[in-house]
Amino acid sequence: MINGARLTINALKREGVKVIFGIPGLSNMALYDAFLEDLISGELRHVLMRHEQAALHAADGYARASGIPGVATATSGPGATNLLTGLATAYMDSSPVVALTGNVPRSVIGKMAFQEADIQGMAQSMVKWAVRVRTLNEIPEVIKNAFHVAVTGRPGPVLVDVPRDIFGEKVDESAIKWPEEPTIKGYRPFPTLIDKTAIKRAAELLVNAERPIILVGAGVAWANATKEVLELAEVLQSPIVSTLPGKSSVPHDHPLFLGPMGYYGRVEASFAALESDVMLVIGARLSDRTFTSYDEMIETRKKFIMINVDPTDTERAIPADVALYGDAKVLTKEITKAVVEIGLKKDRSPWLKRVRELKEYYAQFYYYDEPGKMKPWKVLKTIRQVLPRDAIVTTGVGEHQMWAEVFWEVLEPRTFLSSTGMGTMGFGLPAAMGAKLARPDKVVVDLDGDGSFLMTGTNLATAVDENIPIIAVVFDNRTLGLVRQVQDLFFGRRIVGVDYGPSPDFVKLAEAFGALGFNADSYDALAESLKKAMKENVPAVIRVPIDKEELALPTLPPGGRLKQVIVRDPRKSS
Amino acid sequence: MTQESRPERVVRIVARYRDPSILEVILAHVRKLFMDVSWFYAWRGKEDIIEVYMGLPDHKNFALLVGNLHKTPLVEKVEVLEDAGIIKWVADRKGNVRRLTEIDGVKEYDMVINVPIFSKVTEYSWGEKRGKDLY
Ligand SMILES: Cc1ncc(C[n+]2csc(CCOP(=O)(O)OP(=O)(O)O)c2C)c(N)n1
Ligand SMILES: [Mg+2]
Repeated sequence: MINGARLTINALKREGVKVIFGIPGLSNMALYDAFLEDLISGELRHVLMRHEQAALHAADGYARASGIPGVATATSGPGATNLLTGLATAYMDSSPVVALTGNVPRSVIGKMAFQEADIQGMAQSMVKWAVRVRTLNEIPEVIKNAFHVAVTGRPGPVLVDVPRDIFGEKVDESAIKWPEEPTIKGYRPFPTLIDKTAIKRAAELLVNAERPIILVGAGVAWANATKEVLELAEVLQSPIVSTLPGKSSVPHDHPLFLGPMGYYGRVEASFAALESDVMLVIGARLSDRTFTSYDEMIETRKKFIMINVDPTDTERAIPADVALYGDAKVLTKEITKAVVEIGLKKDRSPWLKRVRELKEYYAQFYYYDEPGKMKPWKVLKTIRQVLPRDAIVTTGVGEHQMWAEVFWEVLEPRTFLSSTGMGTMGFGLPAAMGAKLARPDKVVVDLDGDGSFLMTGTNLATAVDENIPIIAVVFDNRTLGLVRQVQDLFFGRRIVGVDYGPSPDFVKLAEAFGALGFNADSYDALAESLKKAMKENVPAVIRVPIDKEELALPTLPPGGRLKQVIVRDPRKSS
Repeated sequence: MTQESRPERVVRIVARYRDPSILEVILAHVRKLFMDVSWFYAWRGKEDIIEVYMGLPDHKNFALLVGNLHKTPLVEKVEVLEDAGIIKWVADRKGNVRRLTEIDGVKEYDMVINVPIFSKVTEYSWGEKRGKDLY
């Protein structure tokens, strides 16, 4: 006989789960009891996080770095509600995570029992699927279906809630039916439709374009389609731009790549996108961060070709001239084939020259130095030079994230993990820990803000206790910089509720947690600290002082169009 | 067949019932998009099928709603009853059914039943769309 908790763990193991991030409590502790032997044998690893939000972000970072779903667990009530921000974050960035919560026993649900929370009801608007287990017998099926839903189609988080009395029920092991295939009805992964006519039409548009551009989103990384996208760009001689999360999809040292476009993106990328006459969008949902004004894009009269796994994405923002639904890898390959068949007819050199001009012109605004100050672009450049090519970086949310958007050079797919859809401060550190567990051979660095870091920074204790050697570089501007910047530029300099005092001392904080702490007040000191942290291979915090007044540029006025981009510090010209 | 005015859109959703959360999820989609519900019927049929009919005042977010609903786990398909007209019937508590002619004719415990009359359906299901003529 085995109990429901053991059955759940067996089901997870059958799905290939190796790591569980979580915190135990009354309602999920049966699970812990059930996996003790697996921890001892090394078949499973549990990472005891300091907050359930961080457990979810860690599972999310694990998924983004590997493509394999991450798993988190929490107890009922506050444990479960603490997961919500993490679930919403994974949902908005289409990251496959399975969250397992225990709930109060069925006999007391609805009676305001101790730590009762209707987590299924609370989560269901911000997850791909929220499902509550009703009987012991359905555990194998529900778990199988949960993983299936999380990873197929547009990936996303799934919540599985189990009343804890079910964990305690017993069943004869031989009576358990393990499903070979997912059994969920009323769910289908989106099909990949190879519509030859549409593919030919797309190829013709691209071949005949004067100024083609390819916009890539995170979908390219999820579909492992980087190689195919680069091939197509090369055949077409088409520049590539990305969304912010799409940074993770293209090596930035590719000569055709211009960088991310959008709200805080690179001007040359946004302008090339505007000037293009045909845009091929691959795996991007065209959020209001990328196209800040849909009218502005429509007014350019360009043709849009869109490849998306989720067919509703292609119509949401802008009507596509050619819409192709399905796997980005397969469809991009098909377009390349069709393009090769037709053959390239246009001379692309004027367009490539124009793009080069844009790039060279805007470079003058990005890379200026100020003596006595650490400039974000140079900080990032210093870090890039020290880290190996395949190092993974994560970010918090704020100016530092936008600096990373503009200046961080991604060199391998899936090495830039950032909360872009939800913009969740506190994502960076736990996501880095999750990424490190998924890819232990990689150096993992959290590029964080002082505000964001402290939202989940207590999980540094977990990194130390569990020997997860990540490095957090804290851009310490003693302020909620991005909000301050908006107040400064667009609220008549009425700075309120953003500046911090002297607390904390990040070096001492790191040391108190048992991590290495560095105060990197020069580029050399930064490089040295990074090298030392990598060599020691232990968790480390490197504090980099940044001026409060430093702006994240380029930016737009609130609600602005890409054309209204601000590239110079407007406070200096006035 | 008389067709009353159709300021509203009528949809039929076929879904799998696990628990009432399927109804919550469907209505949450409507609510999120600032849309209203004029009437809503749902019943469980064979096995785990649940059928939902709802009438929604037309809204610029209608297409978005259909797009979101049609990719909701447990939803098999969303059908837009394109040319639906509504005939209203009233059942009283004794089980007598009559056509409703004027709204004043409804008394307490009378049940108003909106019966959509339609011949053209567009079906949306997990990324696939198909039109059907029913005669
Ligand atoms: C959880 C959460 N709360 C509030 C915000 C709003 N917000 C966006 S950026 C920002 C400032 C972040 O400060 P910090 O992490 O220090 O980054 P900086 O902008 O200074 O680089 C705030 C408060 C948010 N994105 N997330
Ligand atoms: Mg800050």
